Amino acid sequence: MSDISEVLDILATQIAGHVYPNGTGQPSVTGQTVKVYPGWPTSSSLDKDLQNDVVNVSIFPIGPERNTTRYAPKSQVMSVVAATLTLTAAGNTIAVGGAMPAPFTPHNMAVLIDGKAFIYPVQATDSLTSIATGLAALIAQTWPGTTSSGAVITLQAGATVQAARVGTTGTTSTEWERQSQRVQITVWAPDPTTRTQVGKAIKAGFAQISFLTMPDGFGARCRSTGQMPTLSDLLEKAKAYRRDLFYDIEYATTVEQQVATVVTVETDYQTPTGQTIFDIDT
Amino acid sequence: MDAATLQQKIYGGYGKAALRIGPVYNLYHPTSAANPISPATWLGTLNASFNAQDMTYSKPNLYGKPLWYALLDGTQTQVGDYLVNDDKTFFIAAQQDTLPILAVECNRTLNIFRPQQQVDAGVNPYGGTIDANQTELMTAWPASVLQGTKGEKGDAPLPGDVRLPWWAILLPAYPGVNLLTADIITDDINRRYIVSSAELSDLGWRLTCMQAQT
Repeated sequence: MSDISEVLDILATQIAGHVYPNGTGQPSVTGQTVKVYPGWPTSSSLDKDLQNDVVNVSIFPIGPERNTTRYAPKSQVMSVVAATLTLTAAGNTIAVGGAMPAPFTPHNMAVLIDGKAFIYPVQATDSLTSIATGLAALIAQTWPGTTSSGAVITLQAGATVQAARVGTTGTTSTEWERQSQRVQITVWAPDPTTRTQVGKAIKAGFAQISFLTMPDGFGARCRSTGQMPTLSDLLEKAKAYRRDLFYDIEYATTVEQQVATVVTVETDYQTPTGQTIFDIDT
Repeated sequence: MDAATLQQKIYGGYGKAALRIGPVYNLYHPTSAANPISPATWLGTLNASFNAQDMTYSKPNLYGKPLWYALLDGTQTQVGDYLVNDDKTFFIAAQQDTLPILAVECNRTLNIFRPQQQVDAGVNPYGGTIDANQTELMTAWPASVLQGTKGEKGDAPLPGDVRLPWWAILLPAYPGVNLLTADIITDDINRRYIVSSAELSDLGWRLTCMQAQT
């Protein structure tokens, strides 16, 4: 899930990109070092930097958080583990192929025969042969005469394979809440010129960004907002020229879940009184 | 005996005493507002002994006390001169008639700047002092920089901040250099001060300064 601390981290990396347009190994927009970080500076460090013409950019949330949740929670598939095993049907045979996952990840081997699903959950100690043996044993309970030899399952005559599928696991993420938090970006520069250079780079950079992508994969709306004052020369005597930029960041609070991928769907047909007429797997 | 002869005899006595009890100091006489301690301002050496405002040599100097009585041949020195050896630096604050010579012990070396002055009619540059537009008034002047009595909050309240300290600064006056409120001072350990009040007397400059810090 995203948290305000991750918002600050993302802003710091974005700002670093704006003030070092050619990378941190190349000169910054001021030609001098620019330090970007979440949190506030310490006076002793900042004063030393200012005397050496180093600009600091600090980032901190300001003001209360605003709940902007609008929609009912909805899960999004974020990732699916790629299957390493395969299941191939040909005529009345089904072959288990591929390779056992290393390191082990869950796989479900599903065979659909005449509207009924047979699902074998692969064990960490399995081999292709033992998978075929296990799956054949499941099918044989309904279709006696089903046997396996090595990694190949042979069905009894008359059994029709509708589908052979391999399922794995994946990650889904649900947005439960969305909130808007104002963030204060403060440029601490040793002179008005470098303050302008850094402030302009940040302003122009964020003007082109509508959404930040958070570590949970969800977008966070990024909008500049006004708050007085933006420039302050009060610290001129300490050789500090300050500019404050304010952005409202609207980000999601999400919860991730590990789930198995769907390999078959069971449909239960019932009478109006709830009596089962028949089940069918697809 | 007239006053001048008396004064000469007093300083002569001081000088003889210093020869026996005081170490050797280099004597410098500032000739410009920059670098008062340099080969160009060196006058020679003389023996000098300093005691903590007590000619009986019975009291040690204490915290926050920059003033010393100097035993040295005052005929060789003037107010504003520096006495420097490997251990100590003093400047002569006063050589008042028939009275002990007053010296100030220096613990820091200061540079003093006048902030940016907008001088042009019409459009001027951005109004703000930076290194490039401030004027250096005094360069590398040893001075007494001791803690003042108060402190106050800075203009940028940061989480680690405490009250900013005030400092009491003593240094010689140099002709033509007039220090003002809001002048900027930096020292040899990268501290920065801003002048709050600047008192000029026959003893030299007595400044009250606030430490300038974010």
